[in-house]
Amino acid sequence: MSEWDESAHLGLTTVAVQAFLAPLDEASGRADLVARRLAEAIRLGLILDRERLPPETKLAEQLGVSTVTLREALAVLREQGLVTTRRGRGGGTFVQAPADLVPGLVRRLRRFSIHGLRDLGDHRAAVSGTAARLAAERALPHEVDNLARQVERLRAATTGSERRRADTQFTIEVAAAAQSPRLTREELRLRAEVGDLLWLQLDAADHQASVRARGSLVEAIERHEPLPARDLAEEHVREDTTRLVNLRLRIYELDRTGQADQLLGQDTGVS
Amino acid sequence: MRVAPRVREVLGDVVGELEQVFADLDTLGGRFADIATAGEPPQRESLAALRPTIFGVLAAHRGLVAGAGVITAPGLLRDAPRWLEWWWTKAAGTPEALRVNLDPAAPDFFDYTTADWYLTPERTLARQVTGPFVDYACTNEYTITLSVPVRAGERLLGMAAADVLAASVEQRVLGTLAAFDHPVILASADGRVIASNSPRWTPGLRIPPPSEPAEQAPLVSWTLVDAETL
Repeated sequence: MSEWDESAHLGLTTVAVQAFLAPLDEASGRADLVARRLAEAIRLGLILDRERLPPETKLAEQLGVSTVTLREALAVLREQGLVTTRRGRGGGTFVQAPADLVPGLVRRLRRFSIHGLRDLGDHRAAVSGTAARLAAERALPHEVDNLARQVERLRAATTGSERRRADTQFTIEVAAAAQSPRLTREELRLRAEVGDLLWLQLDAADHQASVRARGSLVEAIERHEPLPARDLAEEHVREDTTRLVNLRLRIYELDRTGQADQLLGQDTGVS
Repeated sequence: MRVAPRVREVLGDVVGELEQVFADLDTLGGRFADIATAGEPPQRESLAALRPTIFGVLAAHRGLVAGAGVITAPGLLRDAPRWLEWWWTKAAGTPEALRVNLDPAAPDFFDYTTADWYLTPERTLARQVTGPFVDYACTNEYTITLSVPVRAGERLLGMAAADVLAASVEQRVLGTLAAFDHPVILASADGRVIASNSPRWTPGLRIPPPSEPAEQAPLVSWTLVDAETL
């Protein structure tokens, strides 16, 4: 990290906090839930690897939970090896993203039925498709410029965690260009829930195809073509869903023969 | 033409309030300039002295202003290339510091120098009203940003700015708009609906350029458009 990297001092961005604050509000902040949400945020790249978390009192306040609850949650994360605490000067609690995310993701995917994955795809298509259509109707030139810049950041992203962040940012900015705080929040929630799964088995060629598709979407928005914009966004979601369903089918097959571990050894494109 | 003479009437109250916010931003900007030009180049910590003024802006305009602060021109501070001393009011009413990613290499880099509320006043060196837009980096509310360039001579130090809730503006103008017997639109200078008495023209929609140039309201550059001419 460069000496000017502010994220190390600031902790979570406001967007990252908003992404999991709402679910916490509903469940009165139990420590295991807080731990699970923080673990998800780490997996999703909302909190970066090696990032220093804010002091406990500050973080507890940000998340709207008591210091005691937060301390318990951090103990859980420490046990899971997701954070580490260093004492002394320059010390604090640091994020330690797991080197290999794939085993955890495969376990998570196993909890989905095929129907559940299709339903997830339907929900995402409804949100992203509508956001794209409305953005094409409503976006002003400077908003289109922002989207184009975000596509360039996505193109430049190399690691899995950078791509996840850039793609999440793009998706959120399309919903913002649709002038809809609700769709923006919904995209953020969907990403917080399943954003990591979308990147399973995405290789470099897939990434390039995705960048091209995002580029076409921005062009449709710029030309004010609502229906093509919606179709492009839905198509993107459909491809994600097909990939996930294929992967889920293979896990069923390998589980039947007790060979699921094979999948964990393969290059699944997640770094 | 039916509506043009009435833009001041419709906006009278809200323009008065926004004028007051701008006046407070001038004060904030003045204090920012004092800090930025006092001897050594400032650092992030130097700007902490502005917090009482920023909190004062938030408190004075509660319900209208959701966030306020100063944004430094790149390179102004000696310990951070870019910085926002920005505070927003949470539901509980307490000010919360905005945290955004200011690392240019990061995929979620918050590049405020490309935002309209920074870019335009940087060029024009004049007060600017931007939006409405979805403020996804902060409150996620539908927002209008007021920004004031802060200078020391020729040199741009940054901006003093405040986020106004679009819903609060609607509340202040719609009573007057509703009294019109035909559809009218209060539109931003770049052609976005801020408020309208017509269900056909809800906030956020783009309007086509009006056939006749509409009179811009003082201060905010908003126009009142007769929807039947679109």
